[in-house]
This record gives sequence, C-alpha cells and structure tokens, in this order.
Amino acid sequence: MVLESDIPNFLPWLLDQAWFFVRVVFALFCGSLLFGYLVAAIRNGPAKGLIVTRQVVVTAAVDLLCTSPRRIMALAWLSFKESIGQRLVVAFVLFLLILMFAGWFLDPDSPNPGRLYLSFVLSATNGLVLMLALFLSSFSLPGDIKSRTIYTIVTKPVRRSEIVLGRLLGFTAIGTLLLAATGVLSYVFVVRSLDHTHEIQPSDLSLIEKSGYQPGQKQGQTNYAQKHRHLVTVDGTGNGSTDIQHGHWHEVTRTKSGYELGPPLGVLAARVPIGGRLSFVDREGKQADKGISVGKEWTYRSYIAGSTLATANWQFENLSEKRFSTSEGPPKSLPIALSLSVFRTHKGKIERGVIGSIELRNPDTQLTSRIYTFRVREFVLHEIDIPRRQIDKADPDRAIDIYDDLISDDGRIEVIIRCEEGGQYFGMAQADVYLRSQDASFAVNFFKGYLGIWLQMVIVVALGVMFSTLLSAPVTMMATMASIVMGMFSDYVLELASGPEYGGGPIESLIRLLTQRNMTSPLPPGMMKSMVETGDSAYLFALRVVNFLLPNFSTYSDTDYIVNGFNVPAGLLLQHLLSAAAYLLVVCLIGYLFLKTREVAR
Amino acid sequence: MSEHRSMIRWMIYMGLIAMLLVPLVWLSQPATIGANGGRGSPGGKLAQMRTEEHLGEANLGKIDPTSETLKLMTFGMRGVAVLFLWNKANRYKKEEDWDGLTATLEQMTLLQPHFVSVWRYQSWNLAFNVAAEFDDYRVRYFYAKKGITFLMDGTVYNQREPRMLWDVGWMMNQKIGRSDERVQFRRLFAVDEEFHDLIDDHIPFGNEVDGPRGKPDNWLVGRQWYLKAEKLYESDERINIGQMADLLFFEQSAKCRINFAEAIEKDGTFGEVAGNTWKKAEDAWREYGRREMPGRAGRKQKHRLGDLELHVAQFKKLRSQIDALQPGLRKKMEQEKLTELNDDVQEAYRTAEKQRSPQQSGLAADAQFQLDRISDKDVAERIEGKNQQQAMDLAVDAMNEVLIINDIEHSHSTVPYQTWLERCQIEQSPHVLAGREHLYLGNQQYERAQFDSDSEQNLGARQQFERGFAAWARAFKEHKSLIEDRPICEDLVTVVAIYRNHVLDRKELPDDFPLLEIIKKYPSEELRLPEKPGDEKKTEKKPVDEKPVKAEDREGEQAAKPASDE
Repeated sequence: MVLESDIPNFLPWLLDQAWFFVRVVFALFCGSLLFGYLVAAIRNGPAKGLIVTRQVVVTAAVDLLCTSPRRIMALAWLSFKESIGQRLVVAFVLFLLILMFAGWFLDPDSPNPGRLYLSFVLSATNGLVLMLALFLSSFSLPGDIKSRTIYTIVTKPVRRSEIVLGRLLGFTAIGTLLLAATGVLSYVFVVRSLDHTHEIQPSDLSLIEKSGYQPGQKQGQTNYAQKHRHLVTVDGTGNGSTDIQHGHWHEVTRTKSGYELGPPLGVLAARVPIGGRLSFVDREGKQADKGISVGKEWTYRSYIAGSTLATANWQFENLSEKRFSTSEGPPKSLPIALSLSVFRTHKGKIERGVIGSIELRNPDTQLTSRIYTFRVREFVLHEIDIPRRQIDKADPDRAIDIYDDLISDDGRIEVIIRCEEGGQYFGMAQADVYLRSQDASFAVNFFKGYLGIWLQMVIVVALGVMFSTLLSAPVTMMATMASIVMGMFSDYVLELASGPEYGGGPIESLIRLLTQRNMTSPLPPGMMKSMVETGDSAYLFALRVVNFLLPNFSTYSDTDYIVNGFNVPAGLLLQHLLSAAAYLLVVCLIGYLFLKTREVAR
Repeated sequence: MSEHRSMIRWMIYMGLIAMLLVPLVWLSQPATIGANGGRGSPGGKLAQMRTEEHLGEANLGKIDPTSETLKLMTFGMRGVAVLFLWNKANRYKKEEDWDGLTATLEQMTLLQPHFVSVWRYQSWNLAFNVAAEFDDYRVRYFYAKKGITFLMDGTVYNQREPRMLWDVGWMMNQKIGRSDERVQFRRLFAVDEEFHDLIDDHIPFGNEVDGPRGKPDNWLVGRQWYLKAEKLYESDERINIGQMADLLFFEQSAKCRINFAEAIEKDGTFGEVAGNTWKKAEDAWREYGRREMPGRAGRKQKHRLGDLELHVAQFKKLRSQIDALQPGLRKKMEQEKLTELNDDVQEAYRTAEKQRSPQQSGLAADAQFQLDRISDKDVAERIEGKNQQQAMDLAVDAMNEVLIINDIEHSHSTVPYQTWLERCQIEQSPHVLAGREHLYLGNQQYERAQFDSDSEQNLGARQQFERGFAAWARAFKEHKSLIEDRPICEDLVTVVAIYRNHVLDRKELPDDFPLLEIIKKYPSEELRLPEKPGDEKKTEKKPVDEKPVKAEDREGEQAAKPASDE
C-alpha cells in the first residue's frame, strides 16, 4: 500500500493540532467580532454598534452555555420524523439498483477482484450518502422558513443553537441509518461475490520430479472458474494449498472422493503492519538519505544497485515476542512482508526473478542472522518467514534466537535488504517492508472504513445546515455541493491555486483563449498586463483561502486501507474523529450566529 | 386583457406549433423496424441520412446499455467526465496502480465507445507500457493480452473501422512474436486456451492457425485479423484506413506467413514442414504482389508489385517497335545531343569506362543523363511520313509503362517485394533448410557445453556447426544473390564467431573454411583475433620519404596561398 507520508503518533499530533486549532478559532473569533462590530456600527453608529456587539456576544455565550440536551433531542426527533419517509427509501433502492447492475461496470478480468469490489462499494456508498446528506440538509430549514412552519418552533422557548444542533442530529441519524443498511448490504455483496472455489481431480495431479521439492509432492491445475485457475501443490498426505492468483489462494484437503478446495483466503484481509524507519547505504558503503533514481516520474520509491555495498535498512521499534504470538503459542518465525520494485538494466534470465537477500541485525550488539535469499515478486504481497532459531554464522556451534538475541533490549531490530544481481536494482519506499503481526478482523475493519464515510456525511450535513440558516434552498444546495466538490478535490485545487501557472490564472487564460495566444508567449507589457496579473493573484489567493477553510474529504477516507487489506489504525481514526469534531464545532457556531442574526419572521 | 383575446392568442400559438410539427416530423422521425424484424419505416430525413452514411449508433457498432446509461448520467458533461478520467488514468499509471488504471480505462471507453483513438492508444499503453513495468514475464504476458483484448472489445463498438482490426493483428504479432520475451510469450500463447476462446468469439478459427505442434500460433491468428480488416476495407468504398497506404495495409497478411516460417525455424522446426511453410509464404507473397495498388499522387492507373518484369519487358518491346519504324533515328538523335555538349564531356563519354579518370566518370554520367532525356515521344516526333502517328501512339504507351514502372519501383522501395520473394524461394532450398537445422542443433549443443561428439545420434556442437556451414556454402553457390542478404549473412557470421571463439577455442579458421567469402564481406569484431607478438613486423609501416621543409620555404607557401585562393 502506498503511504506517501507517515501517519503521526496520536499524542504529538493532538498537541500540535490543538494549538493550531486554538489559534485558528481565536483568529476567526477576532475576525468575526470585528466584522460584526463594523456591520453594527454602520447600522447604528459606532457607540451603539459597540453595545449591540457586546449584547450579541453575551447572548451567544448564554445561549451556548444554557443549551438544553432535551430540547435538542426533541428537535432532532422532529427532523428525523419529517425527513425519514420517502428520501431514505429512494436512496436505499437506488443503492440496491447500483449493486444489482454492478456487474456491468466491474471488470471480470481484473487480477485483483477484491480490490475492485471493495473500492466500488465504498465509493458508491460514499457518493450516495453524501448526496442524501446534501439534499436533506439543504432544503429543510429554508423550506420551513419559506412555508413559515418555523414559527411553530421559534415561538417556543427554543434557542437558535438548539435548532441548529437538533437539525444536525436528526439528519445525521437518518444518514447513519442509510449508512448502516448500505454497509451491511455491501459487506454481504462483497463476500458473496468473491466467494468461490475450484475443482481438481486426482488425475490432474502429477508427481513433481524437479529438485527443491519434497518426495511425494504433486502438482496440477484446477479448473477455470471466475476467470482464473490455480496451481495446486499437495504433499504426501494429500493436503496442501494453491498458488496466489487474483489476490487469493485456497487450502486443499484430501477427501474420500478426491480433493476439496476451501474458500478463497487472503482476499479480504485486515493486516496489521508494524512499520519501520527506512535508511539507505549507498554503493560505496556510506549512509545516504535515499537511494538512487532510475528515472521514473514518480519518486515514491528509490533504488539500490545490485552486487554492491548498497543496502536498504529498516529499523523497527517496540518489538516483543508477545506482539507476534498467536493462539497457537509463541511465534516460530519473524514474518516479514515485502513489496519491492525491480528495475533491470539488462534482461538477464527472463524466466527467473531477480535475487535479493534479507539479513537481520541487532542494532546494539551488531549480531546478525543468516542471510536469506529470495526472488522478488512485484506488485503482490510477498511474505517471508524468517525462522526464529538458526545457527550463528560466526560460530556454527551456537544457536541464536531472533527474539532473544537479535531484538535489542529496548525492542529494536534492523532488517537489511540487498539486491544480489549485478546490473539490477531494487526499489523501495518506507511502507514497502513491514513486520506482520496477527491480522485484525476484516468485518470490523470494513465497518471502520464506514466511520470515515460517516464523518464526511456529518460534515456535509453541518455545512448544509449552516448555509441553510442564511441562504435559500437552491443556493444552499449549490453552496454545499461546491463545498463537497472542493473538498473531494482539495489537493488538486491547492495544486491549481499554488502550482506553476502555465498560461496564467483564469483572467489571463480567458484573454489567451479569445486572442488565440499560446501558453508560452508573454502578454504585451503595460497596465493591462499588471491588472490581469493582479486580478489572477487575488483570485488564486481567494481560492487558497477557501480551500483552506473547507474540509479535505479525502483525509477522512480510509478506503485505501480497506481496499489494500490493511487494518485502519486506531490512532488514525481518533485523529479523524477529533478533527471532524473541531470542524463541526466551528461550523455549528457559525450557523448559530447566522440564524441568530437573521430575521426569521418577515 | 379579455378572455376572448386570450383564447385567440392561444389558438394562434397552437396553430403555429401544429404547423411546425410538419417539418419537424419530416426531419426527425425515427426509423422503425417492421414486423418479424423486417424493414419498417425509413424515418425522417435525418434518419435516412444516418442510415445512408452509416452514422447511426446501430451502424457504428454494438449498442451497449451500460455505455448509454453512463453517458446519460453525465448530464451532458461527458467531455468533462472524460477529461477527469484521462487525468485519473495518467495518475494511476504514474503511481503504478494497475487495477485503478484498467478500471478507469473501462469507464473511459464506456463514455467514448466510438472514439477510435482512445481504444488504439490505451490498448497500446496496456500492452507495451504497462506490461513493461512488471518483472515477471507471466504478468507481462497477462497485460499484453489485456491490451489486445481491450482492443478486440473496441472493434465490437466500431464495426466499420478496419484500422482497429488491423491493429489487433499487429499487436498480436509484434507484442507476442517480436518482443524480447517472444520465446516465452509464444509458448504461453500456444497453450492459452481461454484466450483462444476469447479470440474465437470475435473471429472463429479452426486448424488453419495451428503451428507445427498443433497449437495456435500468434502469427497465424494475427493473420486472421489482418484478413478480416482487408475484407471490411474492400466491402465498402466509403470505409477508409485514414493516413495509412494500401501498400502497407495489405502487406501484413502476407508477411505473417513469412514471419511464421521464420518463427517456426527459430523454434526448431525444419525439413519438409518448414519447406512447405515457406512455400505457403511464397504463395501468399505472390498473391500480395498480384493485388492492385493505387498509383502515386492520386493517379488512377493502378499497378501490381509483382509485375515489374512484365512492364519492363513491355516497355522494351514498345521501344524496339518505335525504333523499328525508323531504324538509326535514335542513335542519330543521341549523336546530335552529344555534339551539343562540351568537348570535355564528349571526350569523357567516348573514353572507355575502364580508362576514365574519376572526373571523366562524372562527366560521362552527366552526358548519359542528357542522352537519356531523349524520350520516345521526341523520337516519334522526328519520324517522318505515315509512320509518325503509329510512333506517337507507341510513345504514349511507352510513357505509361514508364510511369507504371516508376510506381512499382517506388512501392518496392517501401516494401522490398522482390527481396522477400527471393527469400521465400531460397528458404525452400534443401541446402538452406539443412544448414539452418544443423546450426540450430549446434547452438543447442553449444548451450549444453557438448562441443565434440561424433555419435550420429548425438552430434556435438562442432560437428553440427561444420555440417551447417557446408550446407550453407552449397546454398550460396546455388543462389548467387544470397550473399547480398545482409541479415542472413550477419547471422551466419555470429554463429561462425561462436564456433571459432568457443568451440575451436579461438584458433584460426582453416583456409578452406566454407564461408570465408561471407566473413570477408561482413567482417565482425568477434572474429578478429588479438595481435600476437612478432606481428608488429608485418604491420610495420614504411616511413614516407619526405624532405625536411625549411622555414623560408614555408613562408613562400604561405605567401603564395592568397594568390591561389583568388
């Protein structure tokens, strides 16, 4: 799985972000206070404006402190009852239709159907739930204001903050119901779609006569099902497993009538990786920040040369035997997962993978393990189990234990990888090698992914409610839709607003289009050029500000983890929750102020 | 406003709407299918035009409900959606997310099913660029296959695009048959029954695509696609192949047979089977040579690549007929032309070729060029009497023959028709077949390090190579033009180098080595032996007898230089 930046630890992140949040809120508070005073001063004069502003601040403080949870729940229940009927059913039916016709859109030949199906259901759910949240939140309050049914509420002893929070909670409840239903349906859909097995007859298996295989081992091909077949290898007892095809494998067991293949394994997983810190040693044996570039556009991975002193070293921390223990007892090996890239400068042996080696080392005592060789397998998860006990290569009479001898007292170990073929290169990024501890539950992980969608939904509801306190229904919908789009493409918008501008900003681009001027020729110098450039700079600045203020929805999406079969870390979930909560706090406050200052009854 | 007026206004509007319906129906009425699927109404003017020009969705290819649904869902912003998908596809490719890339390509083609260049570009992207990213040759094959399959699917949506069919054939040949992994890819293709079934859904094929081992061969399967493309192109004159020349379009189906013949020999099939395969290749190539190709620069006169000798003979015949009408006239005209040239040129022309100096050779060539400009029409115009009209007619025919010959020669410069025809003939020779077989077996023994063995059942590399060289020597004797075939000769020299350097352990080749002439004509670095001690005497150069130049002499030379420059 690609991780272009580290996931920070929760506590340092919290401290850093909390301070940032305080500064932003303080800046917003001061800014809005100043803005409010200016508006009040223009309406009522400077002195009275000050009194009005003080009054608003005091009333707001009282409102917020005296907000009644009971009234909020009552309003939430009201919103829930009003909105649940038709919209929820329509949304659910739409989702069902999408699932039923999913086969039209999904590639049956995909080598990783698990990734495709998971990506599809998560994306479809995400889109549908956000649309529902958009329509629910955009039309409710403006509709009430227009039809004057809002009077039945504002005439009661209800605070504006309770109205905003009540709507937010009510719509969130509806969205949560839909999300839960679609989540269950998606889970069943994915599991059922990927579930399959194969058949193999005893006559399809033949004894293996190649070296490297144990006597009595047989191999053969299964039948062709779900656009693939497997190579089966069984031992003398008739039990064994298949190779990995389309991201999964099957266990094979001997039965009275022949052989039985179990359900697909490894396709729906929630691996718990223990990541390390990557460093490099260059071809001359010196420490380096990163490896070499082989000319690829994407610089996520850097490379080490084969048959040189170059190595890629991962240092893992906080390790212990307990972390790798299973239900069967203490670990018998150290499971290492690799996802390396290969770059060949010459063809070499086409039918054979490039050879690499792994060595383990205690960073304190410098004791090293035996060197284990392997052939690289690209774009698949390659797992190597290093046996726990092995002979010390310096002293053949001595046995060493990974957990006792190679892991230091404070839980550190180094994993050193080399490319062993001259003229070939291995590419790696930090996340490409990790230690694998006990897998988490896929079902739980799947629903953790839905938490990210839920947070996005809540933010959309909050934005919709906020806009609806000030704007009419269609305008609210447009504003919320724009927020969703900007939030989904936040990185792209930021790149657009701050990256190199080929052909200038929007005003300059329009001029170039109308005058048929290409992107590289400069505009004629003069006042017009200065005005255009100033205008574009202002526009792009405004775009950056808006992009900064709006939430980046992609940060809440954990789809990549689910799709690639990795457990969503608890720390990451907490980060999502807290950042969403902080955002909601500010949005609700703004919504309250808008509703407070608005003349509901005209 | 009174109700009465509103009513009148309403009636006027309705009347206008009703009147507008008439031209609207005439223009836009859809075509219908009659009972039992027969012909129904042809529809309005637009529907009729769509049918005539084959522009309707049903005329272009398969109508896919998924594609239509997706297009509707974009609410008219299909272009924006496609732009977004292209960016996404490029990003996935950059970040090596192959599942995302293939899924995005599927979506892209659903939105633009009739955009031929999307299918062509992305299929090539998958088969060549994405496949190359993988280290495992089996995964490379998978993605090469994916690219080919992608394009095959595209042909279903664009059933009037012969270029797409041609591209499928090309990819099947080039990617599987010519890539670095061709040995592995051909082996995988031969046993890939699922892929064969997939291809069979598009182009049903039987045993005609089987290789010598009874399995489908990529060259012959690709040929089926080329034939399908040719058939489509010839079915309707409105169907075009874009910028591609007919010469190249029709070449490949015949060339497949030649490539197949080469490939099976590289796989180790020789003897009668290989000979018959080359025979079929020759027949296919001759058939290509009989195909009419359009003339250059839009000329209507067509020509055939195989008719060069025929037209040259015809031209010579016409010329001799013109000359027979007034014998000696041409020579006389040549003499007259010659006298108009400079004395130097005349003298150079009259000097025997072997006695000409380099300058005279150039002048003589210029003279010949001037003489060649005397056309048959010029000669015919000088013919007197009643024969002149006949001579003019013959001259016109001769000129046409010249134009056709020029067209054929121009086509031959693009497609070396004659070279390949001769090659097909030569390869059928028993000496060549034997030569190839012995060298192939010799190479195999060399790779097993079995250099020397006289046992007939298991001859060593040396024995096989020597038999092969002898067979090739007989082939060169039989076909004199073979020595001009650079690829064959250079391949032989490579084998000789292996024989000399590894089997003979870098000993000198004997003086009676059968392929000595080839080695001399195509020297190779690998055959050059390092200089031994004592060889310096042989290579020692004699010093040039040069008087020492005095300083004052040099000054004189420098002073003289400006004068000579003037």
